[in-house]
Amino acid sequence: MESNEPVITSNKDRHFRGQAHEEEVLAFCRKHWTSLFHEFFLFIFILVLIVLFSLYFQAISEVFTPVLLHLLILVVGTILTYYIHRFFLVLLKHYLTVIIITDVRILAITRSLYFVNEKESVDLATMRDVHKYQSGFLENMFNFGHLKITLGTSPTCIELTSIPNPEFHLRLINKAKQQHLATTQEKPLEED
Amino acid sequence: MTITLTPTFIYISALNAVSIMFLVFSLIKLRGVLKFLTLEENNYTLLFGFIGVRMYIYLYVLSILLLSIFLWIITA
Repeated sequence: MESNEPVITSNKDRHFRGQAHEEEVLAFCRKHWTSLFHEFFLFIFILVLIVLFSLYFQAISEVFTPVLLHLLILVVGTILTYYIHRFFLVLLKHYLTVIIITDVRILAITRSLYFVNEKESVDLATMRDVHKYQSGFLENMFNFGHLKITLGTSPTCIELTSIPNPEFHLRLINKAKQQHLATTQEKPLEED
Repeated sequence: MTITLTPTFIYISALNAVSIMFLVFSLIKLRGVLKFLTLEENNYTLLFGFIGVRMYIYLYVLSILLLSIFLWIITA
């Protein structure tokens, strides 16, 4: 038996924790992948060092005295273990750090596995200007930049760094703001 | 292969045990943390769109296990 009643769906906590009932996600993004460039370079460098160390281990063991060799293995082993854990935790932090643009607000979630758990929310109605800037060769080459959001009520501003395709996000925020202001102005009229 | 219980070997074994325990703890914690985001509806893309976060988790596990084995063999 089919029902003609409309299905009422709730958006609450649908895409992220804290999402309101009628809040729609318009877009989301993470920091541009170039922000992980130096991490990857360092990781490859460390891998090369490990390979060289294992290839020339015999030669290295002849140069150092046994005590020094053991000390070297202790230090290198500890540093390598720490570094590999750190590299993957940085990668996971990159994944968990998200910027979500909804029809009501902009949310900047900074999160890592152990140390950071930060959530910043800007209501579209309190936003005054959005300033986009892309400076430097890399930013223009790979199309990423920064968005500076100035709030109307206070001199403070929020800066979203390394945003991919900043032009698209700037236009989206402006459009969402206009729509949000239009709906908030229309609502009291509808009630009358 | 004979294993000699030198102080270096004992230290590296302890280091590997701590490292693997930290890895397991991280994976358990990650399971809980990932629940707060369902933006991609199970398509957990991370960097270039084709390498997902799952791939990095597998690489994390593999790297730590390989490093532990490598250090263990060197000191044994």
